[in-house]
Amino acid sequence: MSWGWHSYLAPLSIILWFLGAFLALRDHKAASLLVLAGALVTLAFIVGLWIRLERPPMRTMGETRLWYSFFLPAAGLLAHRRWRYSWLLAFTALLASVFAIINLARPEMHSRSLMPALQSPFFVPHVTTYMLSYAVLAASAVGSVIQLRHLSATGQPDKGLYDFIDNVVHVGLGFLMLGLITGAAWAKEAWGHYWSWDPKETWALITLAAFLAYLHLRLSPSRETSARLVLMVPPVGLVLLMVTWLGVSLLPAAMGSVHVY
Amino acid sequence: MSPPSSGQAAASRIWGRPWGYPEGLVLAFSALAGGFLAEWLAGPPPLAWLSWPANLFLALGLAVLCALARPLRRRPLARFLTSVPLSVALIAAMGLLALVMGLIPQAPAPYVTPAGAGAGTRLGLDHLTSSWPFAVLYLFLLLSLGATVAVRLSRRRLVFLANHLGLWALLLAGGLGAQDRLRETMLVPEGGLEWRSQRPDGEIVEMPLAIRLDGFDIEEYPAKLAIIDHGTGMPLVADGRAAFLQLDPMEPRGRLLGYDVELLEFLPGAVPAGPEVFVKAIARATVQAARIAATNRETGQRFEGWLSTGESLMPPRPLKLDGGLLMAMSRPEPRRFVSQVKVFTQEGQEIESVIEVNKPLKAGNWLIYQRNYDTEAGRSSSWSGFELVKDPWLPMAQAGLFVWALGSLGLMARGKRGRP
Repeated sequence: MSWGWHSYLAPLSIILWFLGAFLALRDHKAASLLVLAGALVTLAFIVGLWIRLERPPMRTMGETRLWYSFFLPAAGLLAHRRWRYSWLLAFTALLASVFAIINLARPEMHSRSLMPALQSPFFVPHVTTYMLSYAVLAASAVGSVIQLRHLSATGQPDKGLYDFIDNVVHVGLGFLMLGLITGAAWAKEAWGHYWSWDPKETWALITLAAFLAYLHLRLSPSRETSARLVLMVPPVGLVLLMVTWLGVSLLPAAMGSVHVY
Repeated sequence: MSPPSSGQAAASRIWGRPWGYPEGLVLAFSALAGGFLAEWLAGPPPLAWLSWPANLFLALGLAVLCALARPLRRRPLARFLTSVPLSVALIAAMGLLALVMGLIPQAPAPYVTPAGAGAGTRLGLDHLTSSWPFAVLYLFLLLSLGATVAVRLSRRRLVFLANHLGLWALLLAGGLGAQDRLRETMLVPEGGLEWRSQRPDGEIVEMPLAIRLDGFDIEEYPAKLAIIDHGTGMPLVADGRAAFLQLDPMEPRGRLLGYDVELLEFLPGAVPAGPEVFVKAIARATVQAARIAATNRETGQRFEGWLSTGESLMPPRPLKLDGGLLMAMSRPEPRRFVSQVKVFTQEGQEIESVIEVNKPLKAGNWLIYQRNYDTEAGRSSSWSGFELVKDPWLPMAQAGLFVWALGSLGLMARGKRGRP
């Protein structure tokens, strides 16, 4: 399957996700089935592209966006099974559609080449753990926004929602740290050192610091740490994360980064 | 199990015991401010002094200080040092420094202050990893992290321990070990023997090992096609980028800008045999050649002929299209480059092996990496470049990374539910 197939399969996924999101907001049972179908169509395209290119499709921005638009609904479905939040399912399906639409607007050119430094057993785990953590942490940020609204409306937090946010941050942070660790191990093999203050590394550290701060803040709630301030941390973390993923190559500090693609 | 200190019982006035968030933030950011002041007044810290064995003594001293927190864990100072509020303050301060590093391009270490430096440079903002504020915060973080591990050492807190101890070991080895880390580069001509490293400043250093390059091979991907304006010599663009079409024998038909392109024949290793023909060849200096048919989608005019990449003695061959345009093959990208070497160490060890990207060779205390080659010459490069890295603290860093990886798996497996 070459990139040409994307212009047929992506609209199919997007339609399924929009319908799924619509039904999820009405608490209809078929919602998760539709979101799942959309994710499977995207997964089929990823697998087909992988076979066609004879390399993991993770080299270019467009290729990482494909993974993100698969992992987002996947994370949404799993969290929906466990926590029954239909807004979360709707949100992940819509956000996945946004990234599929970006890929439709900016199609990738077909290229099989994969530079030697990227030919590493760490390539696949490094990119997939990061994309997974991005998907999961996005869910924590939306949860925080909903909790903030709940606080404003009722003056009391929703305890179940706090459990959800905290658990999701634990899982997302675990993936984020694994992405960093696999990156360090890979860098030692390919570039001679496990940490080089490459701008992408620096921004990954900033993102990590934000979510680490949230996790520690929640360990010790007190009068001094207003609940509102703490709940602002995951959304800010999501912004930092987007800079790390999509924005770093635009910064002046990114000159000569090995992560500009 | 309750956290050793939390803000729950914090007094309403700052500096009332036990210390909480206000005190933690004030102390972490005072340390940072003190660091900036020192940098402004005294310039960057003399980091070269922090090499073996001074860094070992500092590491041991730090470990002893951290361990001391355990017997003293009921004292207010130890409780504060290992408290959640201080950890949040230190994470925030470190995140802030990283944010500066992520926005302002950083000068490489070792750092030398240029004459007549501006205020940002005098504060260390463009060389933070070699600056006082970073050094002070780094030591503060190591102390707090290590003391927390010492105080909360328990078999029931395996996930906590793996995360914090792994990170502590990694930070210690990465930071305090930095001055012992050596990076050297060697360019070895094919068939030649080299034992000297050339530093970026031009200095030549004799190394404790020698490399003989017995062979150097490059495998390439098929080249890409581009359309070039004959007048300007520049490739045509689409969406702000040079438009290209990947040559791919599995997918012989494609489209490039206004042309339908068909790949009729592809020779990954070829030499010209006459003005219009290429033949398959196994030789040192070969090029990639392709027979292409391009059809202008508007006029239907068809152009057919051989194209090739260039090589040191053979110019690339383009295909003439209409409207002053040329179709040409780009410089091929390497799939793999491999050096066949024999390494001789001072201890008399001789290792015959191959070195390629992502597969460094271990020789004594050194790791030898494939670095580069003569990209202008491509396949006929007559030399291979190596990077030699020595890091005596690597085993500790690797152990730290491994333990931290276990910790992150534990964090995911347990979630928040494991907490009381």
